[in-house]
Amino acid sequence: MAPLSNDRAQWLAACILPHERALRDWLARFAFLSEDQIDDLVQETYAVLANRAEVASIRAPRAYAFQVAKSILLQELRRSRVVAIGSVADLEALDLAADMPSPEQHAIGRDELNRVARAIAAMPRQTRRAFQLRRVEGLSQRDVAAALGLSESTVEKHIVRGIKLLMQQFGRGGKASSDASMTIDEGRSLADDRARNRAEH
Amino acid sequence: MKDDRLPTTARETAQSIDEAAACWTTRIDRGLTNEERAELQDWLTGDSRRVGALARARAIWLHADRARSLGALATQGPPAVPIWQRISRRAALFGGGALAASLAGAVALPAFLHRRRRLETAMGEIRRVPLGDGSVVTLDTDSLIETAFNTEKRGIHLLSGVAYFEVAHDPARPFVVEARDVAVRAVGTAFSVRNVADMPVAVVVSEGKVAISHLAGAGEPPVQLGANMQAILPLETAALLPAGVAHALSPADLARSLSWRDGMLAFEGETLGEAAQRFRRYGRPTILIQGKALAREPISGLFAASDPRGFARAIAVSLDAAVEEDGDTIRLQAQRP
Repeated sequence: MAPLSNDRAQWLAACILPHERALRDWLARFAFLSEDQIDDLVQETYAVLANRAEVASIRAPRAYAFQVAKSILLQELRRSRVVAIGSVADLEALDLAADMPSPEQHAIGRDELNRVARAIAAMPRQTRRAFQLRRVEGLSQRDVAAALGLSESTVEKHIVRGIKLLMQQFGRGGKASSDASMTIDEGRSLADDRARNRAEH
Repeated sequence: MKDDRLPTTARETAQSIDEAAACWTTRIDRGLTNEERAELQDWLTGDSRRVGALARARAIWLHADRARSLGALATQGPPAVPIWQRISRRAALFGGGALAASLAGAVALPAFLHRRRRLETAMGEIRRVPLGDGSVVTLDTDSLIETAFNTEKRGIHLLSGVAYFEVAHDPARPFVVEARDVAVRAVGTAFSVRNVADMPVAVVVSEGKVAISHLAGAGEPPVQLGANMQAILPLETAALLPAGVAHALSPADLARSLSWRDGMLAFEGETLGEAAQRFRRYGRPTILIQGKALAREPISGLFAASDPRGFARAIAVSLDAAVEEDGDTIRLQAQRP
């Protein structure tokens, strides 16, 4: 099943994930979209990419992901009559090419790798150890449990937490924490921010 | 949420979907039970965003192992200061100043000042280490250097591998790197030296200027190499020919030839055979190219040195080759028509 295959996840990791930040920034330019709606759109975009029968024919993954996000957004906007027609027209007129990266893709690769490393380094100690032993050193979850003297279910919880922290790094939390460390406490305040955002809407 | 203009009523938040996706990713990683598999199917069909969230979580999870190529940074947190470095910093205190120079004739210098210190990296490891005099060395995978600093000279012997030196300015003590039969002499500059078996010694200068000479060639004028230049020294010992060994590098070529410092391997038109050989220096699995025509294919791109698998897969897609993994070996071969 394509959406769950390792190959597809690898492709997403290599071709789409590095551009998620740019995609979110682009979506954020539409003032009528809330952060929650951007999150929804990003998930829907990944869903389309995950469900595709094949991805080998996609020559420009970044442009394709932007295109997918745009068409989902248009669909949503047309379905909900409340939106001013103007915003749909604006959106359709938007030149996606203007958002294409410079040919200097190398810098993205490095920044991004550093971002992942920083996010891992900033994880709470036990989470970081479990995460590193599994993902970086390649031990199985069971072996990680044995190595740390923890139960397997505790290791599982740490790994879930590690993934969530990295998700934040790639998602809306990324900007705030890209220059410094990210802790669980910051994660909590992020949730507070979200609540505040919602209240303002 | 009632003011939201997109219909989001009674919708699960993206955040809670992400949480569930992180849990499923972890469970998939340890292996699902049959019940969980059915549960996962149910969960996925409940909302179209869930498939996307799970695919994204799995991509993030797989992506995290790219941090491995950052070596010590990712695995050990802040690097501990090795004992030899603490010693050498003290050595620099004693040995670096004019006071020490004036004492040198009268007082025997402490023995550790002359001791050779070894510094090495394991396969797949990339390390950046201060040398105590303000200079910093970055060692590529599987590399070994010995340092011998004294009051007249900062000597480095590159026994094997690749090292990049950022040299602190000190005209009184030239910084000299020896590799095989050549010496590269610098005052304040940044440059890399490669000494890998079966390949010519290569020097790349990113800042300042160095002078390259043969260890045996007394009287021979050294080759001067400036910033953004590279010298490939002949494998067979011969007289140095300045015209033949030194070339200018474009900024892109310079960045590419030093990309290993970020744990990345950059290729621009190298053959697949050469690329596979470079991956081999960073550890397993080993990539074998079957068929001479495929091995000669030129390739381009930036790849994590620690991920030969990812490299092989990417190459297979772009060259339409088949990948086959067998234990510690990855075979790439042209697709049969």
